[in-house]
Amino acid sequence: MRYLGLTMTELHELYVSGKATPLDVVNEVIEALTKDKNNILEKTMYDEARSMAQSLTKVEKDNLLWGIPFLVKDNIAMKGIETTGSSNILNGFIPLCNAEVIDKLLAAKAIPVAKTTLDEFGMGGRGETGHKGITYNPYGKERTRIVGGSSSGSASGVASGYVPFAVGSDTGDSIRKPASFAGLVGFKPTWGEISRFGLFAFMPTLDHVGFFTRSVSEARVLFEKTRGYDKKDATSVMNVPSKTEKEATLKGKKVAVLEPIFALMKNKLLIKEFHNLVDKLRQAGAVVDFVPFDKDLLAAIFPTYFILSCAEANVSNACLTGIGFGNKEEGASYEEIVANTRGKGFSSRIKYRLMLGQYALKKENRNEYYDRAQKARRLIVEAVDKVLENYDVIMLPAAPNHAPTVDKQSEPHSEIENNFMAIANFGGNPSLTLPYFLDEGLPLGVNLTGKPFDDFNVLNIALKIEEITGLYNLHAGLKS
Amino acid sequence: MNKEEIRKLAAEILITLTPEEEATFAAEFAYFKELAKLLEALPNIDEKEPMVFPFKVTQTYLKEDTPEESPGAKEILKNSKNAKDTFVVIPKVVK
Amino acid sequence: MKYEVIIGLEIHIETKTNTKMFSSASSLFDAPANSNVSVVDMAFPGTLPTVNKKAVQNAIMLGHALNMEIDDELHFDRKNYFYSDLPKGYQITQQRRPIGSNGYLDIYVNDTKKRIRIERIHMEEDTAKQIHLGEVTLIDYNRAGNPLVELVTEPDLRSADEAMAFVEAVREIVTFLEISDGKMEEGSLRCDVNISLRPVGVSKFGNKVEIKNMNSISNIGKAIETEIKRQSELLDKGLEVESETRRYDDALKDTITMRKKDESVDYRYIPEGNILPISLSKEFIDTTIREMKELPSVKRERYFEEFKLNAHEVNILLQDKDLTSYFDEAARDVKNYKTLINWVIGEFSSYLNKEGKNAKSVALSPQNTSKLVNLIDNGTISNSQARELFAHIIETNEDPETKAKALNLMQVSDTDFILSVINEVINENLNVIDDIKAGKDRAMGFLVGQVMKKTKGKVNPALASKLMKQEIDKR
Repeated sequence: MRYLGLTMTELHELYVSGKATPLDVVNEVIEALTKDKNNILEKTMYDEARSMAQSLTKVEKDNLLWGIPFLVKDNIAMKGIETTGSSNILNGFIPLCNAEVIDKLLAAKAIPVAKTTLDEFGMGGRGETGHKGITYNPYGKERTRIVGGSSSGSASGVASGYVPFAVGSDTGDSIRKPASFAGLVGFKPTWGEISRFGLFAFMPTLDHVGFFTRSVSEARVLFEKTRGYDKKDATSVMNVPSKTEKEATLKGKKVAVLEPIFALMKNKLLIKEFHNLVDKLRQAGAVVDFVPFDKDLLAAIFPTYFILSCAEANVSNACLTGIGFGNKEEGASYEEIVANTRGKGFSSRIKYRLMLGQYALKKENRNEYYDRAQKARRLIVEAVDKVLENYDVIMLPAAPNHAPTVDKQSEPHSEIENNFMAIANFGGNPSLTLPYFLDEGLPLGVNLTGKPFDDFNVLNIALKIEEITGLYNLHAGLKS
Repeated sequence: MNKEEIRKLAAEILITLTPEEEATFAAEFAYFKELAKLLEALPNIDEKEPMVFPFKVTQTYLKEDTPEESPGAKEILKNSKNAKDTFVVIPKVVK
Repeated sequence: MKYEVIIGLEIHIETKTNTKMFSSASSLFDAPANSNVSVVDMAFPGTLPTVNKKAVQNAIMLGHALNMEIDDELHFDRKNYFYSDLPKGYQITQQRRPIGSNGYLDIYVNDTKKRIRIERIHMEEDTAKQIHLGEVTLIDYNRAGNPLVELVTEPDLRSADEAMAFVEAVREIVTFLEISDGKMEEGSLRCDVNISLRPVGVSKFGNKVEIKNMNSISNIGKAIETEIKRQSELLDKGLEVESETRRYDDALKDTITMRKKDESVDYRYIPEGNILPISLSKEFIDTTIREMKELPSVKRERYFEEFKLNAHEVNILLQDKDLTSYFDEAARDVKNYKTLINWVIGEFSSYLNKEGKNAKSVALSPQNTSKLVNLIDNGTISNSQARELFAHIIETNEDPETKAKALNLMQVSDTDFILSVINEVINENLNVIDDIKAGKDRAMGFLVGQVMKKTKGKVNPALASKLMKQEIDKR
């Protein structure tokens, strides 16, 4: 197990010095994945990975991604590879082209090894609802804890140390919450920075492509390599350049902690450690203020998210009928085929969400549901913008506790402290979670949310926090 | 929501429900209504302009009218279980 | 008539582009089934729409021709419903911000001008084609995603004639702008009629009935007539007209119920979150308009004011866009527009009809046609010589003057020669001279005819007539 649990940078050094080849690494990764007990895998690409690894013979010294194996959340299309969204309705579905983010990673010679599980179609926060069942967190006693969702398999795989990074997606907090439970860096850039072409749509104006890594600097490398205008994505932003920063420093940085959310925290250790971090930030020259925020708006975050996302998921998934593609069931008429296909292919949870979404859009209801939620979105974003006018980032614990144990009942939990990170989806803000302490061996993360297009500033502040905590390349240890 | 309404809602989006799902949905719906109430509490909410995109930005790009090669019938229909030769075939649709 | 007829039209126009409205697949749907379908058109998960520049330009041109306000920002929406020809389960359209609004089109019915207000035009995409065969339906996605423009009028139309005139005027505009084939029989122009009746003097609108499935402009007229009759009969009996959708049946020449409308369909429109608002620069819009082909209304004015053509001539010309282009081209070099128009709608059109040709595919260039017409005008050749010459050069496109000389088809205008023939004819028909002197002028034509016969039609008839009269007076 020489190559597992290494960062991109460490693997890169091995390649450059000739001490290892991509094939060496990929073989080990594959071996480890086949032994994985946390139920993280959808379709694997072992042959393709080996083949690609073998073809990489000339090391690119200045390309950190060269020969680096990675995992891909199964709601991101890969050409010729079954991609299901962790739903039975797409069993057997084979996309004809790669997602843009995949094309960019392949161009950088990174090696995709397997697709990973997710909460079905991205609708979930615990990692329990994909068609393969529960995905487990490698932390804690074996197979007892959830890893969060919806990017569960990706988070679990990186946290196990199999690969240095994985691609995920984030519509409400689906990268940043599992990052907290799995002790990872989870980065969701500004909306429109990374092309969504090939990402299965859940709610277009909230959906983002992002990454799991075990190092902040490597999240930055991935961002730099995959961001950029894509004319296939009409929401890909071209005109507003991301502001670059010179050197990372905390001096003069202004950090806001939303006091009403922090006040909801009950875990004493978490509170203590957070205050520790605040002190260290202040010692390094940052200004950290606990600022007020309207409580009714906070209480409106989850309802806004839930109503909008159910409604939009209903529309985004209307193409899943089994007619032009998909895991079709029999029927005597068009309506019967479609109803049976969707009835059998969607899990109950998805069905409820779609029905609620339909309800929220109906003429007689939409004023109180969908339309109002759109208005609430604006109110929330305006309030967040107002805070960020005077601060570089909003900082808060990414979750109120470490990873919970596996539950029978799976949600939704509407508590504010469990759902507030959706504000970065409402406003498209760059947002990053990184680990800041371990509670009896179980990681907990802190979340930073910045101004739209201020991604590098967020990454730099995160880098300094990583230096402070020393929690770099954290993984659950590899059980051989 | 009563059983009749639940069935009608499911039928609108062309999904079938098991009896258990029908039974469970009522609770989901009740929860949904509770959530909506929290929006009602926001002052002057209905006067606010709905938000569509996360921030204000416009684009100028329009796609040139130059055709790109399509995958062809066999390839584009290979994911369809209803494909026969170069068509998707379904039971006769009544308008 | 005791009832006022209120009609509004919804017209869908397939606009001509090389690619689809939101994808780069070829828009040529008359191709082998499913051969022009991209992953975007099939609505594969993860695929995204991008907006076709040419389709936008087509819409801008149409909007300008219809005197509309052009929105300088493009916004799109999703119209949601399930149907087997709709891959995404929704159609991308423009509900909140149509590209064109508040326009009008002037129509002429029985020489009366009437202004019809147009509420909106917006861009949207077409559905897949379905072929019903026995017990199955075949789906061909070639057409799915093709660009459409929808035009909605205000309910300003008051009769079948007005409706037909409006659709004809739209058809004319889109064909002349070259943004659509505008053929109802082929489906590149589709029209739905919304019609209601109300007693004269009453302000409240009656219940609206929607009529679909008319595949020609004349069928639009027929459908409206039968519907007026049907609704009048109901109202006469004191019954209510039900709001419903009816389809026109060409065999029955009548409309039949398609579906009852107890309530209008709820399409649950939401904004299209996959397309950011697109801003159209003033330059883009202005350039598009500047580069437009000439509108038929502009042509009409030119033909009436400058060319002094009459209504009949103008109408014949404008019914055929290619003929108009040919005429316009030839008119540049011609001396006399009247001669040209007579030639074009006469001999030239006969040839086209006989050979089943189109003005675009004729070998004889417009320049050579105008040369030929000029030869007629300046007396070099007679009309019958021109016809003969035409037959020779229509497929070879040889220079008319050169060919006329080569074929010795030139008209004789040599006065001495003509006078000699005239006197010969007079001497052979002295009794006719007496008739003429007695006042029977018809006999003049006979004598001139004899001159033409003797010279095998080569003599300039006008000149011959003049000289004939002159000689007769001498006698």
